[in-house]
Amino acid sequence: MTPLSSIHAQIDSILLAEIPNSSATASFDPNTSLLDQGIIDSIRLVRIVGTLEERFNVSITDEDMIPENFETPACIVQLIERTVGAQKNPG
Amino acid sequence: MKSLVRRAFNLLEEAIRLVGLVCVLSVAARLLPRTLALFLADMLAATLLLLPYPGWATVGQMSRVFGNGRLTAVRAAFGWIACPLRDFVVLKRVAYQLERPADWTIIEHNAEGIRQLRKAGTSFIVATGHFTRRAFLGLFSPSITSGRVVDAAGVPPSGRTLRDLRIRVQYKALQNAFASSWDGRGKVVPIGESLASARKLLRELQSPGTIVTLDLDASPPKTAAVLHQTAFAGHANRALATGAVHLAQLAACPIVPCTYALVGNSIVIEWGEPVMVQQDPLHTLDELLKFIEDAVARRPAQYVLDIGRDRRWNTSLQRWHEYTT
Repeated sequence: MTPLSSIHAQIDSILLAEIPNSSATASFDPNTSLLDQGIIDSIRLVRIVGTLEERFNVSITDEDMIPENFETPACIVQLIERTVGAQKNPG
Repeated sequence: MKSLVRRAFNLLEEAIRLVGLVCVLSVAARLLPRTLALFLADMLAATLLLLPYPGWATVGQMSRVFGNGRLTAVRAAFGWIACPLRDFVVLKRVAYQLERPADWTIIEHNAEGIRQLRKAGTSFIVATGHFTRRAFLGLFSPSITSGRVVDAAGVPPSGRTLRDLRIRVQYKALQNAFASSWDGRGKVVPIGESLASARKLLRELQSPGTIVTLDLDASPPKTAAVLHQTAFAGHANRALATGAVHLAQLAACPIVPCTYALVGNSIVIEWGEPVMVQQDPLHTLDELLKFIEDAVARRPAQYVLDIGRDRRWNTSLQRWHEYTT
């Protein structure tokens, strides 16, 4: 399984690449409120989810695209952990 | 004191609208002939016109924004107040299957660009605004939008105020009419609340020959990361959603401005030129908004959202400008 710190680092780099004007930031705090602060919305999420699916070789469903899973970078890490785990060990 | 009086009248207005829609016009639409049901909608509008709010205030607003004398302003104010009520009657009749949009006369203007897209089976976005809902149904005729049609619709407010209840009643009437017309060929994707809405629309656009309709004059959802603050339809500064142009950019599909209106007994659909969104989506959005905004000025009584008082329409120059006097 991919180590948690590696997932976090990769998600951080995806967010930095996909969110305009964020490149000045070295990294996102794991508890940054991405939705409440208007950093990501449904349009930006299309790209972010596409990149996450490609990078981690997972399938993120529409049902997964709820605020609880994208509220903070830490929530996205948990979603990826869960999805990778579920797709490796179905049932 | 003034704001208290205003709030009291706004409450009275909403009560009249809600009771009028639910208890009078719903019943009239089902039981009375069309002309009589529309007459009742006009009577309700006339009652509202007699009140300081919204009546006198709307007359003042129309006079300030469009000029053309007091009588013209009264007519425009009456038309603007009556429009959603008359829309409601017709939408209900469509939902009750008492009339069929397929029997309406629909005329297209400047349709050359759109014909080429239809012929090629290209998916595209129709960028429009909140004009009379009766004519909006005409947009979903197979002769106008020939592919699969998806309407990206904002969700109504979920609160318990009279205004929220009234909006939900009108929204439901539109959804029911939508489901009953054109053999239910239109599909609705709710936007604004779900984080998956943009991905669902993108998926629809990736299927050939699909048309997605989006309102450019919609307020941005609370979660929007990008807003566009601009002068629009009499407002000096309105926050507008940018989803339509960003979606067009993501899908690499054309976006076509479009307005619709009732002219006599016909629905007239006016198309703009199809555009591809390149490097600067907000610049494209401004151009598309101008198309919509000019249509608001040509037929303010058929626009169902608020018109601002900060700018006025110059009829001779055919353009909006800041209010300076």
